[in-house]
Amino acid sequence: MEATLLDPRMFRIVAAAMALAAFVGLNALVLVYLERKIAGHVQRRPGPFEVGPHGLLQPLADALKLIGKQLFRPAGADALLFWMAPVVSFIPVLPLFLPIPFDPDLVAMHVEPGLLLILAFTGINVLALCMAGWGSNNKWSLLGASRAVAQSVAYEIPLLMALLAVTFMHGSLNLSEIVEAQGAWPWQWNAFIQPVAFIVYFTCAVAETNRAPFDLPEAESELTAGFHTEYSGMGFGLFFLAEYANMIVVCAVATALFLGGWQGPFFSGWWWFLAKTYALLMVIIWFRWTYPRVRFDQLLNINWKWLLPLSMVNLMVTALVMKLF
Amino acid sequence: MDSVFHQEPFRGDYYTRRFEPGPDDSTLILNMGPQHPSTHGVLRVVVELEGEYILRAEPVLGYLHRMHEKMGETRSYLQYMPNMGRVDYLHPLAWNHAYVCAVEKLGNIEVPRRAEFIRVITSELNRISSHLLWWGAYLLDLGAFTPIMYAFEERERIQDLLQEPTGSRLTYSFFRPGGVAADLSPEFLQGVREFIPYMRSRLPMYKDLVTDNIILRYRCEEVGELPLDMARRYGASGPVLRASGMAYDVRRAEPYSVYPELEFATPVSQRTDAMGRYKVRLAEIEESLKILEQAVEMIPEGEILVKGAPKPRWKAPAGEVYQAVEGARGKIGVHILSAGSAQPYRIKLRAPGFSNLSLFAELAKGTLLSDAVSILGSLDLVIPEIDR
Amino acid sequence: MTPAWLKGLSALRTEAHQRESTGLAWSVFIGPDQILEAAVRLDGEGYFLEDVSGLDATEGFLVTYHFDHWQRPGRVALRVLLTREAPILPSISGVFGGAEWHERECRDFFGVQFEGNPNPGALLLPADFEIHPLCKEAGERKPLRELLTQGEVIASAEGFDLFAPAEEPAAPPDDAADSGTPEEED
Repeated sequence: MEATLLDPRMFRIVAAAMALAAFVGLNALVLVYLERKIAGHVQRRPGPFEVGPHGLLQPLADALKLIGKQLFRPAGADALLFWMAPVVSFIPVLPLFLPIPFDPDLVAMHVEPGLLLILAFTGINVLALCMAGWGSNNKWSLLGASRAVAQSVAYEIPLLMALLAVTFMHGSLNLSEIVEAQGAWPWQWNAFIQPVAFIVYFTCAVAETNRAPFDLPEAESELTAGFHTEYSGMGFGLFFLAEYANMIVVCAVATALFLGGWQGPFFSGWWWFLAKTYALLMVIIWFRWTYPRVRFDQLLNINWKWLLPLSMVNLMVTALVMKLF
Repeated sequence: MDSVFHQEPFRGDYYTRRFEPGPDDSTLILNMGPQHPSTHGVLRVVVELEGEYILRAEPVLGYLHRMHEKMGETRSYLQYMPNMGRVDYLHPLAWNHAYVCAVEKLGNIEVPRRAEFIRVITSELNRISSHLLWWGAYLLDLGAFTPIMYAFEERERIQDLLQEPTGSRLTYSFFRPGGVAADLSPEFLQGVREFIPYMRSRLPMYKDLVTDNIILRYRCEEVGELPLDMARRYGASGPVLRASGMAYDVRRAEPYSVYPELEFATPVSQRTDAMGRYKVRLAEIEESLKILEQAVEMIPEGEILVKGAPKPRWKAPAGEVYQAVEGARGKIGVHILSAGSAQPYRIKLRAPGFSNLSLFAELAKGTLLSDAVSILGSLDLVIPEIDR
Repeated sequence: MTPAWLKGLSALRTEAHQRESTGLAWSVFIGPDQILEAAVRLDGEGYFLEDVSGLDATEGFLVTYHFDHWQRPGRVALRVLLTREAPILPSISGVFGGAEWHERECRDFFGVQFEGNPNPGALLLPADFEIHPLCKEAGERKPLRELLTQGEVIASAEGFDLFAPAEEPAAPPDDAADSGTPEEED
């Protein structure tokens, strides 16, 4: 079958991709503002206040500054890897949003194995970090990249297991179906039926997005800036965008799988979805400005000694319960 | 790779060459600093890594070397005072104190009692502000961004107080041989009286918010264990030594000023690790508050500068004098040799951080890179003082 | 009362000081060959090294090691006089690890060589720096007896005449060339 732009399905995808790009960009601006304001209030200072009313235009100023900066490649760096890394980091972000159901109808693409699609595309990010680390010809970047690989590979396992427990319960990988299977009230949400899976998933999600206290790959007091030490301007900007977009994705998946998605006690709709996602995002931001950073061996110990066994036991208990009842 | 940077003139300096890896190329030579977020200023540490484990480390000094000792030989005794504000910019009043005490010993100068109390009050306030900055910066090293903002709030109050008599906020040069430069106003003393309960009310929050945090404890406990014997071989002093279990405080061991009249304890920890040093410093804030509390009540009326105090062209009698005081980082020593002229013949500054840093290489061996950052932070380094 | 570590050490001159006046408790002149022995003894007594300080005087370089004790405070100054022609000393960094940096600092400032220092390069100054900034010009140097406060002399070896009264201007000829006019200089 020939697909042209006029094909309604193709048209839908293109329109959705454009809408999602705008959504990701806008969300990044909102998140930058939120992050800086929350950081400010956690630290008992007002945060950005100069650019626009209450500093509302600060993220725009930041973005303009990033765009305006010179792109610079260090001597001896592998040009291809160096410039591809930020792009590879950012590109998978768009497909990640395709199967996320903001609303029963507000889905870019109804994908039956939507969860699988998301998990597959999140895996690409670590490749980008690896390329950035190797291509920069910088020892700090290399250390950051090696940390990123070890961390991502380790934390993906309990993350998958936690998600698997939920999909076992519903027998589906389709996010919309999983949302519909949950009720409107909090006690009907998976977070309360599967609390262990929720905690394991959320911890792993923080680690997978390289956010504090698990921000080892960029740990600036140890590795100056880790894998993106050598990036300036939009090279850094794309990593930054991808990090925020990934944060939104993991929180959106958590909302859909564990917090009842768009369903809320009153007036179910996309606003509930966004409210829950942003609540989770704020928790992640709050973590960052509260906790010190863990050490790398401790980070891996948390994973292999606690999260992995916990998620396995949880999975087995879930399977057993599903079989028995 | 055969780029220009690997050819002779660019092949790195003395230290990088000394650190050339052996035939085993599985190790990585990493240059930490002089521009690195957690080497606090311009310290440089060259490390050889196996994975993230440190095989050997070597601090490289001299990036902030100003030759204060030579400056001392070309300036008169009073002209040298501003240098004492710039050796250790976090606790400059301790250096002020060491220097003026040395000059007073040399010239047999009496100090009015009120001036002694003024010195103790300002110096202890300064010690608290130094420990607060260390606290914030150390946690920043460990990846906690927020505590430094809290610490600066308190530190700001101290600076607001101290700027009134001293006229500056960082590089104080306030003491004079024979007294101090300005009197304390009743408002200042009132401000100190109000600051003491305020600071006390903040300390439990520090503990709840930070000290008991499980991540912090895992980053500090059993990291950088410094046995007492090693501390002795390297001449460690101050909180670094006291965290290894030795209650050695110059204010008690070699009493100076009015410290013998004041009640305060010497906090000690038997932990020997970074957490021990952390706890000793927080406990020292409390002890300094105790000293302040007594000193603001005991301060008598009277002169602040003795009559006949050294004038700019003052000539010191010939002779030798060594004066040690307890700074926030440890034992500060000023050693003056005078030939009877208006300038010292030789002035030697003993910086506590110099000795404390010298043990880093041995302490860091075999630890993780992250631990090395934690150890460096726990030693409380002020690079201008180390390089002088 | 002579401390135990001092007994049997062939010191050139031993002085007891008042802490209130100079900050020292003991000041001991020893020869360069005795410094290692003295360091080992002080180490055995539980002393720690405060600093190593140089001095450029008429008679040559005076290297002073300051030691102190945690439980029995009382500063010990070990003084070693080196000739200007061969300022070489054995390193004590094998005994006190912290001495390594202090010795290197002394090397930077005065050009004194410490044999056996594991890393004898520059510490604070650039590695290729030829100048030793704390060395004085020939005319500026002062004799040690004008610089050091003398304590109560406990013992003085035969022939040790650094502090001999300067009435007779019969100083050794090489020193006379250096000292210039010490009195009217300032």
